[in-house]
Amino acid sequence: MTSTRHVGTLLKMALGAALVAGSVTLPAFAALGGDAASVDADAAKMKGQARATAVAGYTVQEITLPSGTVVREYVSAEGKVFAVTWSGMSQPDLQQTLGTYFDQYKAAASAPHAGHHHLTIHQPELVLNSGGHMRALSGKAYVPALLPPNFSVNDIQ
Amino acid sequence: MRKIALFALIQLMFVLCACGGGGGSGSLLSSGSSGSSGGSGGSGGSGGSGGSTIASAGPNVATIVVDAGPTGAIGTFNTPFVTVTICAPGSTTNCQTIDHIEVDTGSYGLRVISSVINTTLLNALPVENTPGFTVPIVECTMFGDGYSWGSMRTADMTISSEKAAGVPMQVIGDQPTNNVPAACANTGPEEDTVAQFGANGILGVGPFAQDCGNSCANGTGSGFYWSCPSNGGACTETQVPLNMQSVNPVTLFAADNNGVIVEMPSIADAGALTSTGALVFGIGTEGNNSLASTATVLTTDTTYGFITTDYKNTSYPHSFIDSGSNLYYLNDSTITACTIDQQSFFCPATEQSLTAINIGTNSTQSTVNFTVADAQTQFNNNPSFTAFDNVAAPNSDGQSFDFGFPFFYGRFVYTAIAGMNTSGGMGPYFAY
Repeated sequence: MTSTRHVGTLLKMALGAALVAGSVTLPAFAALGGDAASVDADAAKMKGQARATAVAGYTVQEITLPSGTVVREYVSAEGKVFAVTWSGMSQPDLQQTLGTYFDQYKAAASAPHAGHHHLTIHQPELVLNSGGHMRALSGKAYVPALLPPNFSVNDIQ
Repeated sequence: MRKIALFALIQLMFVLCACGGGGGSGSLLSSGSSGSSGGSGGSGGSGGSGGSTIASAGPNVATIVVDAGPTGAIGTFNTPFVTVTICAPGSTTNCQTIDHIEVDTGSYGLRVISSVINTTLLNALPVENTPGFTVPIVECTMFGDGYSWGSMRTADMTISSEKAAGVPMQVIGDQPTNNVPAACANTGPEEDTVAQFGANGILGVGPFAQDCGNSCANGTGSGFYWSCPSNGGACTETQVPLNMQSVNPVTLFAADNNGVIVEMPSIADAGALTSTGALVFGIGTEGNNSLASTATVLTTDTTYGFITTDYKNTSYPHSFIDSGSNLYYLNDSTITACTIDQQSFFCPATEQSLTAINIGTNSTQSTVNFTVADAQTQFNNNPSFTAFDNVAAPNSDGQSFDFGFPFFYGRFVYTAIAGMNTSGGMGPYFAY
């Protein structure tokens, strides 16, 4: 866990440095598994404010929605969104955020499971954790096949 | 969709053993009023903080049962249930007593699945209208795994001998599903039936009075409340004043209205078939609900109900104590994770004895010792058990440690409501 802490600290430092240096220009928003270069229109649908930050080997785009919910997406050097996270008082449009994986999420979430404050999905094509409590919901999802080389899923914060 | 392991086994056992102790496979709804009064608190009165005894029957005590849930629920475990009675406003006869209402310190307000409410009562529960219009208010309640959609109504509620009149509550699943706005429908699957919800309803008794609060009273955008024309026209998001939002019913009691105590006995390391405890109303208002001298008061922030947890040298500022979470949810890449029925759990080869430090916004600290066992082994060894104090899973939030229901066994957990004074100070706080 200490390694996670260190990585998290490094990530924050990297984020801070990049913000000081000026934001990297990137298309505004892409769904999980989608192509970052093709989805400018999605930002408009979510009506979000976007900013992008480069980290070694990938880029984190952060979008603040009108609800205050923050969506982050992780874009590989190849321009694919390989992970997304969200956090806020209400859920984001997960159909938009998860893209083609939304139906998979919906099917898995509809399968019998205990409680409804959390959901975990661990499938070969999709790993997703969603949960929290009222007024404070969060989630993260990634596509194992799209992870960049040497990327640790612990870096998805 | 493969259904394996725990869930299929629990379902099977549920059918075979008529799992005693909880009434899980008995009648869906008990009738009469006896079901809602306290009954005897914990069996033998074991457990509790500082050697305290779980509250016995009393006017401010409702029995908590952890069992397999109502008929139709599948795979339910570590879920505390109580029985409540709801009546048409002002009526003492058009009432219904409903069992298997989940006790949730992680939400605010009473919500009942419409299909369990009899038609006579349902028709007599007045719908709340959008202020200034005769257009019903419908709520989208977002959970971690989907949403519940249903109208806002008012009802009189009784639990044990505590009464709240004119409670704004949600009736889940009473609306046409083809009229759910995209902002709600696109958050996940709908959970409007007992099978989908795993309970007949939910009683949100967390540290706030309303489910949304000021952001829904003063504006829109969070997607909680919608104005939905009766003719089926498109719903539009609407502001709702605080006194019409889903309300924590405890705040409407005449007394004992400053918070609740969840009191559960300790259970064996292997778990238990069922567990029985008490939901006590009020903190320091009666002889049976004083704050234990050994309890530590951890105040939370006034918007989200967060405390901070330090765990293995990492600080988690978005932590909380939640009876509505079935597991401990934590971030720890050193514990072996596993997949059961396509869901993530922790499955360490040997049971882990762990320590976390909880810190309130008042800077008070409390050390928590807890254990994480191999969830797969726990479930496999006793597939009919519904109570486990040592099962955990990875958290969805890298900033959070969620002390779910495993934390509650062997403790008295106090939840004080924001703005309410108690013998332990002003809410919002958690104490244990």
